[in-house]
Amino acid sequence: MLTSSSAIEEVIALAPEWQAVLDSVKDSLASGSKPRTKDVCLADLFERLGAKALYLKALSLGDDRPKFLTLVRDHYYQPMLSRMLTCNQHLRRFLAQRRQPLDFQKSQAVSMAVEVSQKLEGVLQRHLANNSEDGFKVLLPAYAQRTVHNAVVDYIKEEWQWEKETLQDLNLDPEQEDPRQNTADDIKYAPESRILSNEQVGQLNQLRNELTSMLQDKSLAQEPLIVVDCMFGLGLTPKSKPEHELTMREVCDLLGIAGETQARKIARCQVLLDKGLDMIRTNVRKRLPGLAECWQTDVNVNTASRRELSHQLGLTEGEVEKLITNRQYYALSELVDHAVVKANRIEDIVKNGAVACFVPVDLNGCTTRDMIDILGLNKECAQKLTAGRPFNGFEEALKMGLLDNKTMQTAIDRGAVLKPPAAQKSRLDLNHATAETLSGLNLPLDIVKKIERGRPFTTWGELEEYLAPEEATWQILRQKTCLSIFPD
Amino acid sequence: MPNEKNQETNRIELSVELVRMAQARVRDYGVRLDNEFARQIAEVAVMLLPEDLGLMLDDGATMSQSNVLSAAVGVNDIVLNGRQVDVRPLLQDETVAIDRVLIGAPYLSQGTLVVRLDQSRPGVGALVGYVTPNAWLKAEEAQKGSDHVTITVTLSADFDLARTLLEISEKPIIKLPSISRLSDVKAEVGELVNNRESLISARQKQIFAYLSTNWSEELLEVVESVPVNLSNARLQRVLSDAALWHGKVERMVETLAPRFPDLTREVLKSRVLSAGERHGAQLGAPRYRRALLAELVALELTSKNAKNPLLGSLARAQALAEKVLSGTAAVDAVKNVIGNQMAVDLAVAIRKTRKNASGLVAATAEELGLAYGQLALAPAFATHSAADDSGLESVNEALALIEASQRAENAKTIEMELASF
Repeated sequence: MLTSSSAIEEVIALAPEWQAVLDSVKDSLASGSKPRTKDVCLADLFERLGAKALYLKALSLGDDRPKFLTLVRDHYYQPMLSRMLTCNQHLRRFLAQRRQPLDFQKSQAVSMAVEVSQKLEGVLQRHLANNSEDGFKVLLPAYAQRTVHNAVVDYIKEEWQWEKETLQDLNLDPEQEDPRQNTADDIKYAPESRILSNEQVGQLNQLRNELTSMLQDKSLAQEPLIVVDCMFGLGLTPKSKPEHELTMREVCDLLGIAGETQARKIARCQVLLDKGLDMIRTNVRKRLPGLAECWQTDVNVNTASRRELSHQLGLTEGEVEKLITNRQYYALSELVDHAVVKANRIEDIVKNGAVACFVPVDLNGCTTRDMIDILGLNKECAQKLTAGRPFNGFEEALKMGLLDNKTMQTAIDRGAVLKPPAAQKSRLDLNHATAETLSGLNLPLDIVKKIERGRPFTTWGELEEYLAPEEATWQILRQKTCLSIFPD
Repeated sequence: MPNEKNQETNRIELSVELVRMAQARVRDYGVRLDNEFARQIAEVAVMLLPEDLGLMLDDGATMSQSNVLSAAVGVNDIVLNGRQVDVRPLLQDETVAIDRVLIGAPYLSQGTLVVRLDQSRPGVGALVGYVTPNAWLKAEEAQKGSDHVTITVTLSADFDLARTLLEISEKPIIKLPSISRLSDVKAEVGELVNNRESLISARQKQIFAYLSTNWSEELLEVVESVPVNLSNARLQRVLSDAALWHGKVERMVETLAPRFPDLTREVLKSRVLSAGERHGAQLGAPRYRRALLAELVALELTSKNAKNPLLGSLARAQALAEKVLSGTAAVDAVKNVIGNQMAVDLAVAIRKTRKNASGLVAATAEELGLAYGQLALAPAFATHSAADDSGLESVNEALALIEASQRAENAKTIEMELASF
């Protein structure tokens, strides 16, 4: 905070009548029940004086008004706004979801406080210029509180929009910092990131056996388990299809869940789902104690950025270089085989959240950076491939002279795949389609806009929850689009 | 204004981004979406009231900041002029429900604000009522046994939000002395969160009352550091991954079944599943598909030649198929596996004379004779191997392995198909 004794002196020089108030503030601080932890600052004085007194004083000042307003901005608005913004849950959550460190979160709050205080000073100036009677309201904390809320929502909107625009640029310049490092965890759910390690697969195979046993155990309530089966598309009972996730509404229709209204049916379905999840959780805790641990790791050494490898996994610069050179790994033990790290380091790396999951890299859709960092292509080759795509197969890239046989084989071994462009277009990917193509499906304009603002979506349930669409709209979405996670 | 207030109906609409952030919190931590919407709508409703009422929110003092407690016991509060006020969505049957553990704690000493959410417009709703703390205490007395306590809310058409909030904000803040002490806060909160069913209701309440009485930033940090064992959000992620993995397995079996007609679907499925346990779920990964195909080729050959003792071990055939699938020529791969190179050459010569060797791998004397002739090796080979028949055995073994490697060659085309999985 910018408080100094000279600032207090400046104010008292402008308003000598406030000396008594200042003394009173000093006295109350000195006689407070709590031990005195700070000197009196201008913010304390302004707070004690209140909005009306500050406003009236500003009104009464002539040439000194700008000087006074600057003091109000720096010593009244700024500390108050800083406090509000530092505690603002929306801002904290938004930045935390983007893995921004705590000190960055704080500095972001402070810089927003400076910006908002300037705006409020401008509004105050206008009220003073117009001699408005209720201009003092601009100085009320509740007014500042609302302004802060609006500023945060605007900030989130702008950042969100920027992320979307940036992430759609798949031909990222490898020389630039990868903006995906600073985006929300949502992107982790992109299909190429939905990968499972061998340990996880082992747990999933056992989980399936457990669920099958539960569904055969007639002493257990079956309806909640069937709801879970249908909602997640586990394919364990005749009504559920593997990989075909259903929404609550669809499950209500499919299972004929009773209820006077749709909302009541959905409420009943929610109860069943909660119960089913509870039953499964209890069983998993007893029978598969290692399962939860397997889903705690989240830094895939095959796709992690240099920053993640060094900051989150604690690898040295040399280790990071070696790791990237030898990608991809099927198991963490291969880091030792390739002399990336010594065997005794593996335990620490695992503790820091490392996992090795092989990831296919589609040359028709990946970034130039991924071609270099994951497939090991050189920059020139990667850039040429990016410029030359889409390809119908590796042979096409070979014929065009963009790859030689040896490079192609190395790239394939490191995970390169080529999904023909035609195969990707059989259903419209809701997470990437343009507004024009979405409108082409006869979706209402407001729905198209809402989809654009809200994506990416992980599940149909999430989309339905977000849009609450009319039945006709929902049918179009279900039949003609996909969420790029599930196959057509 | 990013959040619009409809003056006629007093309804508040959260911005799309806030709705998505609420959904993300639900997904990541397993909190309830309706609670998130209700609380955020209550916050905006407070902020939209005239500023001279002096109603101030303090985000930094809320318990609802805690992802752990929001998910485990459903804390969902705002702090209004220093007073903690619970917020709940109105359910379909005009009731509100809270976790029993919250009742009686300072957390609920200012009652509950009730928000009606618009079921057809996510993130839209209005503050419509208020439940007093006494009403919760009475309801708890009347409803024994369940984890949740429910109250039917009588909604009044003339509900005055500003008056209600002012009344709340004018109530004295009574700081109750902490009646319970926790010897190890982290461990006991861990029990409440992960192992609640093992704690009696009174102990659960004691733990929560302690947190509520002593809530601070430091305590928030401690609570957030409690590891949650299989939260709702994580379990849902696991189930979703399970669906994806088993869907992939089914599709893989569909693709493989016509290519390996001698193997049952059950066998194929179990092999796909176990290969996943070794190489992860990316069925298109080169090592995965090669290992799986090599295994299937070897299995198929074994099943076709179950009575043929010359085929050798399954592991050997599998190793051979893996070599071929990695790009080694079939004959070279066989030479690599069995040391007797002449036997391999003889086997190749025999194969050339056969039109269809499938299932008939043992060489006949006639075939062997022809092959000797072709390679002009007859005297030496016959002399050295006549005593113990080892030459013939080697040739037959080479034939079997060449068969396996030919099959692996054919499987290469399947391998390319699997790359797209």
